[in-house]
Parts: sequence; C-alpha cells; structure tokens
Amino acid sequence: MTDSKSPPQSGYEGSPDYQQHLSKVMADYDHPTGLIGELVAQLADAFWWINVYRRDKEQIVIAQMTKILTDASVYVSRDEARWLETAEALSALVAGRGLENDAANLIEDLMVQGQHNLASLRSEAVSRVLTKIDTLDRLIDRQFKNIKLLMQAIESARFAPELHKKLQLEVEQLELQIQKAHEDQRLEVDRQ
Amino acid sequence: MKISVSKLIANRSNALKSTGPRSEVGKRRSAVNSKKHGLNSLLMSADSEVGEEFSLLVSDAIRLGYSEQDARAVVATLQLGRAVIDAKHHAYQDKPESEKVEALTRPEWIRSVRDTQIPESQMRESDIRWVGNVMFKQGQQDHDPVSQLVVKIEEHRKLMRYEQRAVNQIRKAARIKK
Repeated sequence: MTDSKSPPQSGYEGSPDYQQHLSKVMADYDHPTGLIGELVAQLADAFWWINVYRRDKEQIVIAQMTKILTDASVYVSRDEARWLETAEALSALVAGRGLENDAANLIEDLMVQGQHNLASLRSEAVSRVLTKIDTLDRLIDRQFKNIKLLMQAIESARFAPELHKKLQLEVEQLELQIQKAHEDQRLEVDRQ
Repeated sequence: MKISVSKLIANRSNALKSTGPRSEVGKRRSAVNSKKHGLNSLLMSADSEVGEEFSLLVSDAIRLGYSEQDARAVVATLQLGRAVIDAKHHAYQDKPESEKVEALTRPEWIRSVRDTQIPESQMRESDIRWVGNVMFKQGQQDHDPVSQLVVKIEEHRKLMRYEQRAVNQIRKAARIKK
C-alpha cells in the first residue's frame, strides 16, 4: 500500500509519471496518511486508469489505421521503424497537425496503394476494433463508479471521528434523559 | 536475447521427459504454477493478510473511530483493492524484448524449425508445421501493437469483476456502523 512519505518503489509505483500523478492527487487531499492515505491512493489509481484508457482508445484506432495501411504495403509491413513513422504521421494527421514533406509523401503513397482516404481509413479501423473500444468504454465507466464509491468511503473515514463523537454525545444524552426520567419518577413518588 | 528455435525445441523435448518435481520445495512451487493473480482466494478470505502495514492501518482506523472488528474489515478490503490494482498494472506491462518471438514469415518459421530440430526430438512433419505455425502467430502478436494492446485490454476486462467487488467491499466496510 502506498503512503505519500514511503520510499521510492519499483514497478508502476516507482514510475515517475505515476508518482507525479499520485503526488498531485495526494496534494489535492492535503497529503493524507494512514487509512485515508491508502483510500486516496486507490482513488488516484482510478483517475490514472481513466487517462490510460482514454489514450488507448485513440491509440488503438491509430495502430489499426497503420496496420491497414502497412498491410497493404509490402515495403513497410515488416519494417518497425517505418511502422512507427507511419503511426506518428497518422496520429498527427488525425489530430489536425501539419505533416513534413517526407511524412506527407509516405502517407500519400500508402493511401494510394491501399485505396483509402483519411475518413475511409479511420472508419474501417474503428469498425475493426469496435469491440475493444466498447471494452475500454466499459473500463472507463467502471473507474467512474470506483471513484464515486471510493469518495464515499473517504468521506466516511474522514468524518468517522466527528460521527464517533456525535454518537457518544447522543448516548450520553440518552443516559442523562433516562437518569432525569428516573429522578422525576422518584420525586413524583416522594410527592405522592 | 531472443530464444533460439533449437533451444526452444530442446527445452520442450526435455520437459516432455520430466516426471515432475521431486523435492518438497519444488512441489510447493509447481502447485502455484497456474495461479494468475490470487484474487479469488483474497476475495474468499478478506482478513487473511496480516503484517506490520496491516497493523498500522488497523491502529489508524481505530484512532479514527472504527471498532477493532470494523477496522480490520476495512483494512482487509483495502488490501484486496491494492492487490487488484497491482494485478491491473502487472497486466498492462509491456512484454520484455528478450521474451518476444522473432517476427519471421510462416514458411521461414517452418524452415527454421525443420533445420534446427535436434535428433532426440523426433518431430514428424506435421509437428514441425504445428510448431512453426505457433511460433509464427506468437511472433506476429509480439510485434503487432494492435494485438499487444488488445491483450492488455482483455486482461483488464477479466479483472473488472474483481475490481468491482473489491471497491464495493471497501465502500461497505468504510461505513461507520451505529
């Protein structure tokens, strides 16, 4: 389990990006420790996965678009460097960024070979990975539900001391009421 | 370093001669060979994890106002949640380059298996083709970013039900009982 003051760990907890994200969420909650610290760390993880799944939704479409184009091209399909170059160019194109001459020529050649334009390529790619996009949407939805439940758990733990005090006061008040009722009863008996 | 075909076949051929582990340690180790993430057993016994960290969190929960029983329950569910998180991150790790199978074509793989098989393996032509096909498919998957991403997404889809149960249990356990 993670504590904001724990030493750097290996694996995902040691990754600088993850650490930065975790620190940011911890700071938003005033750096809690102990039980609340662990709850907030798990909440931060849910936020982390939303970002990952959103990025992957875009990435899987770009990768599929690249696959469609490179499968149609003999000279790129087994060349990983060209594959990456194509994926980067497509990513820039989809994001509406301009392409340099080499990249633009590469994409144009591949589009012609595969008889595609950007819209038809994207729609074919989306149709091929539709089930996976649906799964990613379900995973994102799950994270939102997790966030809601974990926030409720954090609220419960945060207000546990106040609730505990309130319950104690209620018990004391009830005891006093009973004592008073007994006293009143005793006085009434005495009077009679 | 990628594993060579001859080594792979030799390993598989030797493994087929094996009669299993003999020592107690080996038997214990092989008993958990098929264990993937152990989340089922954690869900079955939510309070099985005991350690220094567990005790510290239980003390903190008691300080917050939870009864000892409730504190233990809430910390146990948090540990379950953490186990699910660890499994999710583990499933999303990229396969190390050293474990990736080379991306050769199907005929190249079949030829490679045929050329490099050791005499002890006594492989028939159909076996050679089968191994070649398996290696080809694995090589394709290991070098295809779409397949790699699909594998990760599928692993997370499988973990979703554990995630749901863990978080529901955390929420339930964190409530202060009147």
